[in-house]
Formats: sequence, structure tokens, C-alpha cells
Amino acid sequence: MSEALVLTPPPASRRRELLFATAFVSAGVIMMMLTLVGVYLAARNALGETFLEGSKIPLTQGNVQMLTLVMSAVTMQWAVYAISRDDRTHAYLALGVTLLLGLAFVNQSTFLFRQANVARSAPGGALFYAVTGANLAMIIAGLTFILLMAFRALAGQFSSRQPDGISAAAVYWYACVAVYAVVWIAVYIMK
Amino acid sequence: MTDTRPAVEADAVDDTSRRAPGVPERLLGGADHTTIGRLFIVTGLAFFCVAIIARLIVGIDQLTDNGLLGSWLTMVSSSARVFGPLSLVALILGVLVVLVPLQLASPSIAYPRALALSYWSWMLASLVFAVSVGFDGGIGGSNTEAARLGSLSMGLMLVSLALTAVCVATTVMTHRPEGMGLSKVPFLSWSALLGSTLWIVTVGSAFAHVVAGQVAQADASALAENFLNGIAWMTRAPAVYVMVIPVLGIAIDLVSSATGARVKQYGVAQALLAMFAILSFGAWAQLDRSVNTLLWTLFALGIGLPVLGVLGLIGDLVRRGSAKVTPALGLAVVSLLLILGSVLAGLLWSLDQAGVGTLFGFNLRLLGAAQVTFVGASVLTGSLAAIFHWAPKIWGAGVPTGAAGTSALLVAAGGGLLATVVLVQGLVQRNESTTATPFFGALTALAALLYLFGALGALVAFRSSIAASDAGDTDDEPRGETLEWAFASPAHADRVPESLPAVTSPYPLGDESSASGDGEVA
Repeated sequence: MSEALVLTPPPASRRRELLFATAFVSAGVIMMMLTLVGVYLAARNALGETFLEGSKIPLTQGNVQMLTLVMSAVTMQWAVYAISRDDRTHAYLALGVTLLLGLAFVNQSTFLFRQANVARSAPGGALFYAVTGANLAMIIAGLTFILLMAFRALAGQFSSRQPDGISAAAVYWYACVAVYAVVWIAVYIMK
Repeated sequence: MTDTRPAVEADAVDDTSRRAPGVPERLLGGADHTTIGRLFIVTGLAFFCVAIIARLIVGIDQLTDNGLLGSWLTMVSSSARVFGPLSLVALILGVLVVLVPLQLASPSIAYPRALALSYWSWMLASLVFAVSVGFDGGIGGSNTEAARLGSLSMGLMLVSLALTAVCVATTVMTHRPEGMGLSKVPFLSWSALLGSTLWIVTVGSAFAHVVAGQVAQADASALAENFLNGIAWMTRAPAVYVMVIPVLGIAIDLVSSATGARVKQYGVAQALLAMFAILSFGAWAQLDRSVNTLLWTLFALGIGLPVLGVLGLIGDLVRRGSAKVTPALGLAVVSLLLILGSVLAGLLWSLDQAGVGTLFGFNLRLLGAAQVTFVGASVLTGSLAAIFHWAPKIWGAGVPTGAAGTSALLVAAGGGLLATVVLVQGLVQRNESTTATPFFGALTALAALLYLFGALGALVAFRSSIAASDAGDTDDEPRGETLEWAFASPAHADRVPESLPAVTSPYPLGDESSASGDGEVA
């Protein structure tokens, strides 16, 4: 028999570990996004009329995206509610709908980028993509997180006794929604 | 990610098919917090020595009227002022990574694999940053490609260390033993929670500027401007104090342990640390115009109050207890005094900025540099104090008093002198003058040499401790009343004590000794 290397496995995780770790990571990500928005607003204030000159950022897509994310926050909470009552069918359904709404947001973002036609070399163009791109990356990370937790829920790892994974994904998702609300106001409404 | 794999039963693996992991496998594949913490400590100190060598070269350059570095002077100086503090952050995080789970009697840190990832990515990013400096990149270099590499690697260093902080903070929140509420957490762990949380949010804000710089594909000069306008705020008050938060916890726990006296007003002491943490939040003061405000002045000066409070607490502990002067105890006190040096630099800055900001014409760039140099010296002295004091748990045996004492003296003298030289230079070279630059260069070089020998001396002391441990001369004598002293030396994940005392106060081990009549409580 060939020799097998045996490394000590990590100990089992503790209750609420994922929830707290997600909260700490979310705090860091929120600070990053708020700072980016602050830099964006400062640059817009400094550049005046020349800011994003030659581009027209549409409002419709941004509004629909906000509405989509608000609905997804409701369905995410539905998933948390369902898993904490061992209602697996509704938990799967809620996670699926949340993922669908999140994907719709991503789709709408790509459409918005094409419509806005912001050149990165234009004054403020790089900042526009830094803010909206980072927000999009945050949403995609959230969708990946939810997808992973959904698979684990399907495998029966979460229940009313251990709902941490779903709750943690929900915490991160709410952070995504809150950050988008700020981006929506700063980039799309106040333009 | 939550790991729910079933634990491997020892019996489930055929003994004949097992072989012990070798050193490279343990280093690269292991996730034991004590091992990774030691790696952080040694690598952080080694990288800091590199930064100090850069400061030494800068000093010699100033002494020889810019005859050594030429146009690289600003780049090397700025890069060293970023690389050095980040190495010190890694050093103090290494101390927390080893000690915090032990203080909570936990066999592991939260997310040990993420911790390993954070260490290796930080180390890789540090090496890449050093390479970028060699190609005139780093911070403020003129080679655009190398400057982009320097900016990116600095961002990766920040994020990696933030990931370490996530592991530490999550451990304090979720790995406490039964009965240990947050009000009974040892001060080192309490300060680790505060410091890690503040580090995470501060890094989040700084990283935004790295993202903006990369998305804009900025050239070298724009990246230098991006650093000055977007990230340099981390190296001045109030954000600069984030990295020093754990030093306060180390000092209180260390002095309490060394004197055998307990902190009487535990909640007040915790509140002092929390006040310090709140006043170190500096993401709001990124712009130059936010510095010339009453709020900034309140933050920059107010942060001295909790430090004075902690010094008072320590004085009370020394008065009530029976303190034996050790290198660790001396370093702990010096680390707090160095924070006050930084507060003094903040006070001078505030005075200069009063009114229209032209009262004295001090060199604000140097006053900012003095703050980060004082804080860096505080982090180094505080970390070494902790490593010397908890050496039996970290390395297996105590550090030799002679080597530790010499190292402590050199580090305290070098750090204090270097920071003072920068401060005085900022006061003397008013209105961007270059008065006595060669003289300050000579002092900088001297201070950097002392600092370097002190740091190298600490590495020698660690080596002696490890050698003594390897020779079987381990030290299991409890030196304190908190749970880390219940572990056999050197502490390791599989050495969790089989029985632990019930936690009814912040000093469970002392309670047990008192109950059995073995010890006295001051």
C-alpha cells in the first residue's frame, strides 16, 4: 500500500461562526463601496459639467434594478424564515427566486452599461465603472454565496437547529441591497 | 466557509499507510493557528528589518546630500513608510493569532484555512511589493508598470491582513468558553476584537482607492497622487492608531500577569480600550480639508486620554502587586509612552493648522511621518513585549533574559530616537526648508541601526527559546490567571487541557487556584 499523507483536519465549526465572519466581511465591503461613492461624488463636484461628458446615464434601468433588489431582499428573508421553521420546500423556492432576481440585476447592469456608453477615458469614466463595477462584483459574489448555501441546504446541512449558512448569506445580501441603494441615489438619481 | 466534514477518526486510517507530514507539508498544508501565528511573527519581523534597512539607506542618502539614491529618494522613503507599518501589522496579528484562541481555550482559530490563505497571500504580496520597489515602482516610483504592481501588491497586503483580522475577530465572538461573556474576555482578546474590527473597516476604505487607481489604469504620477490623496490618511491620526489598539490590551494583561494583581474596574478598562478604538476610526478624515477641523483636533488629542487611563491602571497594578522588572514589562510601558509621542505630534499639527493653517509653518508631511513612526515603534515594542512574556506558550520556553533585555533596549532606543528625529525635523524644517538635513540624516541612520540590531536581537532571542524547547527544556509554569496558561508549552491545537476551570470571572485560572488555596489574589 502506498503511503498516504494524513494532515489534521480542521475542527468542526462553531455556531454562528459563519454569521459573524460574514458580518465582518460585509462591514469591510460596505466601507469600500461607500468610499468609492464618496470619491465619485467628490470628482463629480470638482469636474462640474465636464463630468461624464458625452454620456447619458438612463434612469429606467437603475430604478428597475433597485426594485428588483428590494424584491430579492424580501425573498431572501423568506428563505431565512422558511429554513428556521424546517420548511425546506419554501426555503428552496425562496433561494431560487432570489437567485433569479439577482441574475436579472446582473443582466440589467450589462444592458445599462451599453446604454450609458460611458468611455473609461472620459472625465470620471473610470470612476463610474469603479463604482458600478465594484457593486456588480459585490452582487455576483453574493449570488455565488447564496448558490453555495442553497446547495448545502439541498444536502440537508441547514435546519431550524443550524440555519447559519442561510442567515449569513442573507446578511451579505442585505448589505448588497443597502449598498446598491446608495449607488442608485448617488449615480443614477443625483446625476 | 463552514467546514462540516466529519473528523477523521484515528482508527479509520490504517497505521501502516500513514506517514507524518514533513516540514514543507506542515508549513504549506497545515492550518494550526500556532504555526501560522509563529510564521506571521517571524516573517513580519524579518520584513520589518528590510524596511528599516531602507530607512538606514535614506538616512545615509540625506547625510551624503542625496549622493546615494538620487531620484529614488522619495520612492524608497515612501515605500518604506508603507512596507514597515504593514509588516508590523502582520507581526502583531501573528501575536493575536497565537494567543487569542489560547486565551479562549479554543483548540482552533475560526477559519484556519482562510488564515493560512491570508498568511501566504500577504507574504507573496510583500515580496511582489519589494520587487516593484527594485524596479522604481513601489509608492511614488516613476516606472508606470512597476508602480501599478506596487499599488496592486499593496492592496493585496491590506486585504490579506484584513482576512487575518476577520479570523481573529470571529474567534473572539464565537469561540469563547461557556461562562465567558464579552465582559469577562481577557484584555488582549478584547483589544484584538476591537482592533480587528477597526482594521477591517479601515482597510475596506483604503482598498477603494486601490480599486479606483487600477480601474483608471493610472500612470506612475497619478498613482503617486492617488496614494497621497486616497491612502496616506492611514498613516496619520486618527486612522494610524488602528494598528496600535492591541498594544493596550497586551500591556494590561501583561502587567496584570507580571504583578499578580487583578484589574479592579474591569468594565472601565474595557471602556477605555473601546474609547481608544472609536477615536482611531479615521476613514472620515481622508481629505486634507477634514484635517483642519475641530473634530479632527478632538480625535487627534482625545485619543491620548484612554492611553493615560491605561497608564493609570498599570500604575495601580504595579502598586498593588509585586512587579519584577523584566524586558517584557519595560517594553509594555514604553509601548504606551510611544503612543503619547504620536499624540504630541498630532497636537503640534493641530496647533500649526489652527486658524488659516500658517501659524508655525511646520512640515506637515514630516509630522505625519512622525505619527506613523511613533505608532510603528509602539507596535513593535508592544509585540515584542507580548512575545517575550508569552514565549513559553509561543516557542516552548522562555526567552534568555540577556538577549531579550538587550533587544528591548535597542528597539526602545532606536524606535524612540527615529520617531523623535522625524518629529524634530518636521518642527525645524519650517516652510519646506532643508535646514540641517545631513544632521538629521545621520541621526536617522543611527536610529535605524539601533532599531535593526534590536529587531535582529529579538530574532536571536526567539531562536534561543526554540532551541531550549527542542532540547526538552520547556517552561510550563503558569505566569498568569487567564486560560492560556493552562496549556502545555509550547501551546498547540492538540494540547487543549482536558479539564478547564469554570469561567466565573475574567481570571478563571486564578479563581481555581484561590479555591484550592494555592494562590493569593492581590
